[in-house]
Amino acid sequence: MVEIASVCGHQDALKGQIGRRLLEMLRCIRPFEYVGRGGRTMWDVGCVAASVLFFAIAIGYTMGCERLGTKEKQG
Amino acid sequence: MTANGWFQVFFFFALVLLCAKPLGVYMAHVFEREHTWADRIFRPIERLIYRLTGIDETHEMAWTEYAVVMLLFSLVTMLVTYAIERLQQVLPLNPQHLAAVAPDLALNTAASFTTNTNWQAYVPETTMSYLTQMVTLAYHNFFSAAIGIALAVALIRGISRRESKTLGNFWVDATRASLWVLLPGCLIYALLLVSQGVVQNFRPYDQAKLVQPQTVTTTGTDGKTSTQTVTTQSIAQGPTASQEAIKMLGTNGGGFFNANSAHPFENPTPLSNLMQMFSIFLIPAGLTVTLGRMTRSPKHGWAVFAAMATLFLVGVFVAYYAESQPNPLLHSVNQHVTATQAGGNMEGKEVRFGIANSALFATVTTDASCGAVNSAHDSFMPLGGLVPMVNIMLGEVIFGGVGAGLYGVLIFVVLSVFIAGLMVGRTPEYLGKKIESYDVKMAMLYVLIFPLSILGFSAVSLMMPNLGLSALTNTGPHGLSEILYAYTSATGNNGSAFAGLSANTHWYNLSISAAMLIGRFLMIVPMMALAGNLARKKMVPPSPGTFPVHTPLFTVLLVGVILIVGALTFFPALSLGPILEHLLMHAGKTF
Repeated sequence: MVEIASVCGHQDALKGQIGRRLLEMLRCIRPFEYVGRGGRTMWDVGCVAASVLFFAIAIGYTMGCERLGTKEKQG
Repeated sequence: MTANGWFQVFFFFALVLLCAKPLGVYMAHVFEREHTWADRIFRPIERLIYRLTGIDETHEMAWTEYAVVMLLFSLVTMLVTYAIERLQQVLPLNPQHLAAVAPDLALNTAASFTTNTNWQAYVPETTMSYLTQMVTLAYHNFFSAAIGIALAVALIRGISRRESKTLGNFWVDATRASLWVLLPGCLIYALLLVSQGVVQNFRPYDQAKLVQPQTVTTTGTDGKTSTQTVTTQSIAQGPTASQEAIKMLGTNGGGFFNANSAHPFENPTPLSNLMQMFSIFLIPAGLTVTLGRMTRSPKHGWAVFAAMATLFLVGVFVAYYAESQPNPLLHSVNQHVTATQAGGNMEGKEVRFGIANSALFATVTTDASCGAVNSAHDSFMPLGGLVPMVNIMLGEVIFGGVGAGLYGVLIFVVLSVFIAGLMVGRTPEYLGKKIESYDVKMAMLYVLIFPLSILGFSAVSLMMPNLGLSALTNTGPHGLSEILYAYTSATGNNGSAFAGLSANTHWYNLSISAAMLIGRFLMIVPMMALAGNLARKKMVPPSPGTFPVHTPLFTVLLVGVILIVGALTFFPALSLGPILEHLLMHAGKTF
């Protein structure tokens, strides 16, 4: 709840309608209340982003290995 | 060491040897899509799965497509696992009302089970709900193993196919590995485990009244101590047998309970212990026969099996010998073997298994990348503890994880053939395929990533007192061994631990997650590249200069290459850890 609460505190600063809607949606999702506790939302975002980044690197690595093979054949 | 102990070691190995061929031949039939006895049962289910998921089973994949599909599938399943761990408090099948898993621990566990490592930085019975254990962790136990088998089969196809751009279909291989191999095996095995007393229920935990109440003094975070009298004990329950079966057969190793296979509900009898060790080696041993069948060179499969068996027997001998010797620090105590005394190091071992079965289990579980334990590796003598660590450091190729062991050893086969080619000054050939510069580059990428992750993360942890060293409960060389073992186990996708390290910290959860992912996926990619490149090649008929890969000489060369690569890479670190600890123990120092 820490992040959501702090965002709520600055709600006036959120002029855009999209921001307010997003906040309402966040309030509706119950699990977010839990994961928000103790600054854990950022952890969740970080963990998911890190996982996606790792697999993106692995796919890039796959393409790199393939390209090396093609280059060697041309050489 | 006793004759009884050695009899049990050889009986176990004879059982593996006996079953390797029938299983290996069966798996070759399954992956070559030949007729098997199980087709009548599984073929309709397989067709239904493909129809529901829209998979074209006739579609053949190039190595890049095979690898990318595998990576994306692993990513999605890993994220689902993470989500379920984080939301388990609002999901069903949580009779103990366990809270959500902390984010860093959830990431660590998701990476751990996706990579077939099953490193557990938590106490399962107080952290994971039944749903989390059954839906996500047990699911990964099946699919990470099935993916391993599928990848090994793809590499075998790369070796056996001629001028082909494809290696098979990932979905088909993974489905067939699950349906034809893992599921029927686990069904029978789980029932056998139940017959031995392994629990299988959904009951809340039992509460037992203690005959002798215990007084416990605890220190709070504020430094104040409080005394509490404990009168009841909570006895954990759960669907254990079903998970135990795939935990061992899929070389996963993640225990349903914290004590893993030392827990009487997971591994109650000497017979269940034998079944567990046997099931760890069964599929990896069978896959060597599958290699021989699919490459039309059965003797080559047996030569690879012989190399693995040699390294396994050496490991068992050293571990059993080290653990059965009297402890030099207790020289004034009578430590001779008697009917009531094991005569060696019994610390951290279950009395019902004894020294022989604990040393054998430790060797088996670290040869194969299983990681289940029936004794505390941290409590082994320094040289006894060295064996599990070295087994993993050799690349988990001594039978190894299901599939992972075979593709790992085949990388060393390519290197052995390359070295043999250098010796005689000819272009190296492997089963009719010329081994060229690109193949060796990919093999070396595979080999080098492994020590880079282990030694790199260990070095960083050792340099950071607040992050790395603060989690240690032992100092000196034993402390170094604990950190080294953790990253070795993670990168090797083993999952066992020197439990003196309190690994449930932000640093260890995150860095070990990275090590597990690197050790699995960044090693698979060059292996698949090698497979793809081999598949494209023409077959060259054998000539007088061809190095035969089915002879005892080849087995000796393969063993030599595996040992030299492992020894050269890790000897400096080992000399500062378990080897130094062994020398200091004889000088009267302990840590």
